[in-house]
Amino acid sequence: MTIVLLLAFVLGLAVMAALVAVETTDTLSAVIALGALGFFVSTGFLILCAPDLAITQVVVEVLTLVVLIRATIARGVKTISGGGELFGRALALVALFIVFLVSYEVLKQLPPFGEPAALAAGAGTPSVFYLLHGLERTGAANYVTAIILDFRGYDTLGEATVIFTAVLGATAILRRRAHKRAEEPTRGPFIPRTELEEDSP
Amino acid sequence: MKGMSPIVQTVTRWIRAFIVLFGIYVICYGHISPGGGFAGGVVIACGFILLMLALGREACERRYSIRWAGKLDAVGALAFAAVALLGFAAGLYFQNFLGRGESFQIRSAGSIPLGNFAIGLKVSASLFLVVAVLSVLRVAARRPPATEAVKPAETAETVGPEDVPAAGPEAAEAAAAAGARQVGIAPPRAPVGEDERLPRAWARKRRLPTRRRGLGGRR
Repeated sequence: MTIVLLLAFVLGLAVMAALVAVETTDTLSAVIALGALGFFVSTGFLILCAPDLAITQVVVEVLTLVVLIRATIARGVKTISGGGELFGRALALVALFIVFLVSYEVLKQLPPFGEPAALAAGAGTPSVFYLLHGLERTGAANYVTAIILDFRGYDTLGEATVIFTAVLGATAILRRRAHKRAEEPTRGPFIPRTELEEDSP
Repeated sequence: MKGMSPIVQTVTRWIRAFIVLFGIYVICYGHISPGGGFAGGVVIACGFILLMLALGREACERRYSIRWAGKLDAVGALAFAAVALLGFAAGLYFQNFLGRGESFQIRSAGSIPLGNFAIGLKVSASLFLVVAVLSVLRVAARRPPATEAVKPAETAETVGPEDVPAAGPEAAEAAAAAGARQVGIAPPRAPVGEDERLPRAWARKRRLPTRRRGLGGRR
């Protein structure tokens, strides 16, 4: 029961931080409130005994916060103009209501709080198999790592590909050479950077 | 970007090794305790990013090469694919091809630690690379107003009084465009102006004496 109360407290704080992030007109405050939201969600994972998720969430949150704050300061965006037209708000309310109904129906299917969801799914399902045979099949004491790197290695390879592609795109767009070429369109044929470097003293 | 105060710089120099060490620990023990390649890689990247924030981008680029970060990123991705392909040695793609060993020891779980190492290398290098490239973009976006203040005054003296830019956003934009055009026409070895306006780390590293440390070095 205390766990439920603690979780409700932390998630309530997270909801408050989310409301602040949405409602404030100052961009920097919104970014900081977003960081607080991530921290509370990470604490919620910790309370639910998911330290893997908590560690990943908190480090990614720190990194994102640093990048967002630097971007906010660099751009000098101070305020966001609030308000919207009536049609947009009505549409948002309808969408919110539909999402609420769907999630209510879906969440009714979950087992009660505290009961292991994997065992409630019944014997023969993959989650039960992972729990029962994970240690002997992989030898890894951390089941999360055993699943993401052994049983579900394809998924992790896909994630690594996603990160690789995202970083590739970001560096291709943001590198200095792209800006220089955008500023001088009539430069002539493409010269690879290596030639330019060997050329310069 | 300039560095922060000496207090922050000193404390950063003290704790950076511990941050990177903790990241390595999280990666190495990923198959025993909570954590893993991704979380540990982000911790290592946060250590380098802290260094970049505290010491400034130039000082950080002198020590750790951005180009090497890109290479390590590719090496990590290829290493993970290689771990997956080496599973064919045991028969299947992604098969655990090493012995499982004794559980709760660091040498256990077969190829899972190898995958953790590969992902940790990849994630740390790529996130450091992204933040470094973002900070470069910020410098490039902020510099034009500085040149715009200098360049119109020089042209105004040579051309005539009617070209003196009036105060206002349109004049400022025109002056910025003129400055950009001048820099664009200039040859690659142009003196200080171009180099300061759009700094090229790889050109600047050649001029400044480097202190080789860690992942740094030229090539």
